[in-house]
Amino acid sequence: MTAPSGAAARGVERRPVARRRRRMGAAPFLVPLALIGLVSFIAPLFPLKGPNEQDLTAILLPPIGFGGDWAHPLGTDQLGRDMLARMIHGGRLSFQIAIAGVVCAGLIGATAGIAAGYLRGWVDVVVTRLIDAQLALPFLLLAIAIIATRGQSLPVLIGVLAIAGWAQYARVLRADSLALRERPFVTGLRATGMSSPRIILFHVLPNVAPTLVVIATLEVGTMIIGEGALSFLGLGVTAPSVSWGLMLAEGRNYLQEAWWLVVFPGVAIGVVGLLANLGGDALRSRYDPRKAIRSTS
Amino acid sequence: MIHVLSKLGSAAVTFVIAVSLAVVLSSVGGDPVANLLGPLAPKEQVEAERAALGLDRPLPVQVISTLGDVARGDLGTSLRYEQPCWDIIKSRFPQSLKLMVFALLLGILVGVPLGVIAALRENTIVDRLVMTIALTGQSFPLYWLSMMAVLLFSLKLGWLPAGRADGWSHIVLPGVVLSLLPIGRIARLTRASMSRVLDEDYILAARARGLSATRTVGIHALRNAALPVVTIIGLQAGGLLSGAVTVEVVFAWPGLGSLAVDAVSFRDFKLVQAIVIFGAFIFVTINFAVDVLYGILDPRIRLRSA
Repeated sequence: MTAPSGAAARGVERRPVARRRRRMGAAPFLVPLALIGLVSFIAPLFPLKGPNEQDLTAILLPPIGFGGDWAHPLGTDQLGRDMLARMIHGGRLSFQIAIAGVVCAGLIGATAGIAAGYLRGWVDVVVTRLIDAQLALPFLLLAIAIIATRGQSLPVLIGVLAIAGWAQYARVLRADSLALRERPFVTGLRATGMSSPRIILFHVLPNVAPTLVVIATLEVGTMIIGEGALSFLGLGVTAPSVSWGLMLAEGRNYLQEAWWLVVFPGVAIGVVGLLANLGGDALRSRYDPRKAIRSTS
Repeated sequence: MIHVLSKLGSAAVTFVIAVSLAVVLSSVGGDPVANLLGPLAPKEQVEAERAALGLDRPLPVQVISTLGDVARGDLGTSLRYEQPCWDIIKSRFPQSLKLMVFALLLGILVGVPLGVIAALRENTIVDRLVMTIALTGQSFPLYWLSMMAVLLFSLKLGWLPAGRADGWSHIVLPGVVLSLLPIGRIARLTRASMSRVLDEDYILAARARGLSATRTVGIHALRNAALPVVTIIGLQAGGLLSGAVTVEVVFAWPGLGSLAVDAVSFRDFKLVQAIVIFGAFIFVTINFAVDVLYGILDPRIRLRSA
């Protein structure tokens, strides 16, 4: 490839030294992520204006530093609504939808994946085929198809996200349970006559829990981005509710004269997505260094 | 040959299940006809329309009849345009394909070198920087990056056109934005794969024999590291098709994505369903091709399944 030969030469020779890995923990990513989530959740406690409170005498005010004042630190939108209030309330709904999606997807995916990996046989065949088929359907197009026949609502939106996410859990947890099944302590438990549901619940599940946490973390980012995309296309959250994706859809028409309507919610989604991805990766390498090296995603 | 046939069978099964899944998921509990005709439509009209569209039949019958139609190359008739969905898809797909091929090629051209550089400098600041940039491209929503690109390069700087699809200059902005997805994925995977290969004994042997570093990395390491990367290129097809939807909408690009979004605003669920099935077909076909290619590139796989 086009790697400059000088750099390549040094790289190859220096490898043994550079191989000593020093990895950062997950805390630098997950703490800010949790803080953003927390601020969103306690949004009603802040002395903020209502996210839908209009003030037509103060429309499209710029944020502080660009000619705005402290009355509206992040400026106002085309109806004079306070951007700071909308950002925090929007984040609240975005997080709620994402977490509901992560939990639903996790329940379906973990059940299917663990059952397939532990029970093998026809369950495994069916689940593996379903995972392959699910991954073959482009997420956004499938979501559009489901929403086209069912109309928009919050449960449909969460359901769509869960459908998009379950296969990830199922695929990874299946592989984990498959390996776990052959471990001596599990064969031992089986030999003592313990029932499969009991082994799965009390012995397999706790052992795959770290993997579950890693995928759930990564999926929070995916779900926030997915909700944003659907709301942006006008297929997710609808006014008067507020979510970051919906704010982007509304701000799009004012791209040229009021950049702050589009920049703030977009950066918020991106930062949350990035924190979730970085945090998930860091968690993964902490729980399983072997997988970190092969971090394929 | 056996390898190819077994992969073909597997691809066909996946496609059949994917189509069934699409039909079931978009039918269960939903009422497309009520959505289509609105809340004021008389009950008899709703019933008649439902019968005309075959939606009054039991779900398994609907699934099987859809599968039969798809096998005959019939993707149904669009409710809005009143012509076969296939004809409409056929007229729009080349534009999406152009965008996706552009993005994928750029993804390979940029992603592979980035991954190689990161692997050679593993755990240095260069590595961290490259990987963070790769992840950033994957974390920020594509439609937002599209809007930012329009704002910066079209509206403020006026360098490149945004919107429509005439001429090559129009593909640059949407193509580059869409390529961020494959660049990130390919760079991350190349790094992981390359890092593993560089630890192999044969790399050490090649160095010991006095082969230049360029030759070692460029030929011996990269060739072996390329295998998993080929797989991810196949899997990219699905992600690109989804990513293209929002990018197409922002850039008013006349491809399948914007067609699907238009169709849903006209409640043309037949056309949307046809696009989903077509998308699944593309995905399965590409992955079948990748599987076969993989067998050619790596004899170990071909021989194992034979």
